[in-house]
Amino acid sequence: MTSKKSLPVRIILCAAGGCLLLVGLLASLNVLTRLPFTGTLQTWSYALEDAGSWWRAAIMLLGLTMIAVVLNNVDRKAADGNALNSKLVRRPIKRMFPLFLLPTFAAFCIGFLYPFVKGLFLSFTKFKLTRDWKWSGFANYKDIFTDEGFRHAFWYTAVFTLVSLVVINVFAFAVAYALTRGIKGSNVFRTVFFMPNLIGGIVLGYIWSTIFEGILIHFDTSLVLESKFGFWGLVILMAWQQIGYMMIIYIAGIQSVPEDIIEAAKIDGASAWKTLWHVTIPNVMPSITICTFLTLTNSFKLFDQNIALTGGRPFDGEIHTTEMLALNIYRALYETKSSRGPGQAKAVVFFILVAVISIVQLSSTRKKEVQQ
Amino acid sequence: MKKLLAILLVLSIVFAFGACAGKSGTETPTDAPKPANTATGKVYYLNFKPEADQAWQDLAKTYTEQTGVEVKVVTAASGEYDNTLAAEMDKDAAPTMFQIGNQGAVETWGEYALDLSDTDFVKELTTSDFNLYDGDKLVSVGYCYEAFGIIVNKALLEQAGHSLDEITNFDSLKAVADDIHARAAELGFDAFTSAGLDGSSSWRFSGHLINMPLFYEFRDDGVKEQPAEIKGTYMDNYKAIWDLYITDSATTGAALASATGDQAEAEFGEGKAVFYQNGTWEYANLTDNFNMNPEDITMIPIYCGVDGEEKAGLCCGTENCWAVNANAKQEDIDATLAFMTWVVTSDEGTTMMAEQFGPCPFKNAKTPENVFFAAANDYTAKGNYVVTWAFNWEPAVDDYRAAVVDAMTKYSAGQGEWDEVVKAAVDGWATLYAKDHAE
Repeated sequence: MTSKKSLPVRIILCAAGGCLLLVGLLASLNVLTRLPFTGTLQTWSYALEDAGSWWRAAIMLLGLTMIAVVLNNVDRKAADGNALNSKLVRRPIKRMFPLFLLPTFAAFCIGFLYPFVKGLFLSFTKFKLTRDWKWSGFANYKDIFTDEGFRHAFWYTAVFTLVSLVVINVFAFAVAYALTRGIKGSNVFRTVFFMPNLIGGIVLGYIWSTIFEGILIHFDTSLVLESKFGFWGLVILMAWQQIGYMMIIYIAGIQSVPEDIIEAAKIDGASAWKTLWHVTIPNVMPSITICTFLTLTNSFKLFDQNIALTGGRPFDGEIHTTEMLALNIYRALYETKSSRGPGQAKAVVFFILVAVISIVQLSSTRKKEVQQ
Repeated sequence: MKKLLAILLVLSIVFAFGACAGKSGTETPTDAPKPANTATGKVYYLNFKPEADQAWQDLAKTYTEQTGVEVKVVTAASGEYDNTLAAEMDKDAAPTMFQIGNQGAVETWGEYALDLSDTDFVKELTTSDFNLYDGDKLVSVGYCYEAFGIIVNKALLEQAGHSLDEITNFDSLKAVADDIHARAAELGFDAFTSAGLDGSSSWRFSGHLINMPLFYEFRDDGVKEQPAEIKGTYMDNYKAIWDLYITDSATTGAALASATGDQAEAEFGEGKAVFYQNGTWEYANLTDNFNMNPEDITMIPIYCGVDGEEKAGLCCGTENCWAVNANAKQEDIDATLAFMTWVVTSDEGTTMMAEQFGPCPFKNAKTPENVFFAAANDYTAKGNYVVTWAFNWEPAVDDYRAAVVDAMTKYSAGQGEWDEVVKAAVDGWATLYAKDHAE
């Protein structure tokens, strides 16, 4: 579309797009009206901040699209030898790409990119309402690292994640392995094991809390009286919910292990155990990668089940003994009436933690995958 | 085949667009197509009482039918008002009318509330006793008042061979309750309903029952505004009455941790217990849902063993105060004030208010049928002192109560000491107050 345009035009377009993006962003963060503008500019900035959020979103998207269009039109051949380098194929793709890209891109911006930028920004401020902030630098971050409740929640989450990671994956793999041996009614079992996954977290939390309370009452105690009940209750709940899902992934993995390798192992006289350990497991490493990634992030981010099952109780002074990170953040956002900034800072730290842990995990299990 | 695939892909994009547009449309109701009369403004009321939700929805509908003004009523889940309000106030279409019911809320939301002093609505008030101020600014207007105490089933009390006249202080209450509890199997009912500590019930104790030690401490010390810390002078009295609740009842120990408010209500409604600590708002439930005879029920003060409590009355006050969002559009503010005035002056409005909220401090208010208010007035007429709602000063209400409830749960199950409850109530107050006021 603009592939013939000259360099200056591209630069101007790009700069204009950048400006639009910046203006939209500043307006959305309610920074625009605090800049020392006068006259028309000031009127405009107030108008923009008062306009509906759709206007600001549209401006930002327009800016982003402009940049994207210009960058995409830098005409160069793909280095990959397999790429389609014929102009006849490339040109229509290039011409139509916004149509294909825009919906997902817009959803990504609205659902992730923009909230993330705004959240990051707000973590450096003091605020009750997001449009009403006061800059406070790193004060929020200083606060949270001296927060005992937050530190406890971090370790509690780490331990919980480790335990549930092992429990869920071992059981899921065992069930998957059993259900690929060709026993009668495998499909029924698969369906039944998968079903818990279809129930929402909050509902599950309340259902299981009723079950646990019903049992514990016979021992004259309760889920909210001892933290160990809350911990193992949560592990059981998560295992019950997640094993079926992971099982499906493992079944797919096990079924794709080539028959001939298994047969070769059998002919060579390998025992069932050796076949499992040295043939099947290395071949389902991609499934293991996915499943560990999913259980790791799911457990780390766990919120619904946590709030519904124990809500962090029992308490130990300032510390809520069964409170995981997400719940701690949620509480921090509402607990301190004078500012929600510390809660926001916790959320940013939380994001970085989850991102780092999952990237490390992905790259380390990937290395163990074998090529078939 | 490829053509089919292409068509499918294009269709999916179209749907994706549709889905995006549809989804975001619900998120920002302001941008939805507006009715023709945009200039009249709209009312958005964030209701505080789940039990009054249906009545508000009906009233809003009536108002819209009569005037054409759009009234949206949203009710926050029980115990979630603060969180819901914080989330809603951040939206483009923030509530125009909401609750600021206690001192803590004034500090959080006061700056966003319109000064109601000079509005026509305020001229309808008969008293300013229930209003909340931030300095000179009239932040919110108490639109009803309530009373709580111990609801008594007089018929059962007589069946057990006792009468109301016997009960004048903690000792006599305990004597009657102990006697009924001892003979529970023979009588077929117990003294107290379950003192459940599930979230649906625990506010009766972490909010209302704890009012007793707070009220007496503040009265002794002449405290007139939210204090930074409390001493816990009367925490032993709190323990006395709590022990009575959890001893002279069918539900005891760890079972209290998960006992609900519905359970206690049903126990009282079905005649399985004589005493039930709750408030005037229970009247409709008891007489309508459980068909209790209004003549059989009354309310007595909560006695906890404080000197001179023979002259105590019911605990009267309110958490029901309306505030108007100062940042709303002018036409929405006007519409909201007009709606509020209509609610307290029109026939439909005053009828609903009397039914749902009891006596309201407005010139046109109707007298409610509620016998509990009659009891409250009787005590006042006899010259007894009114126990005011000191618990409205609890700092960071939800967190404060959660900690107290947690300690009470452990104590009641025999797995914790009473000292923990005192710690949660006294130290917790100071900690949370400091957090609320951190600069």
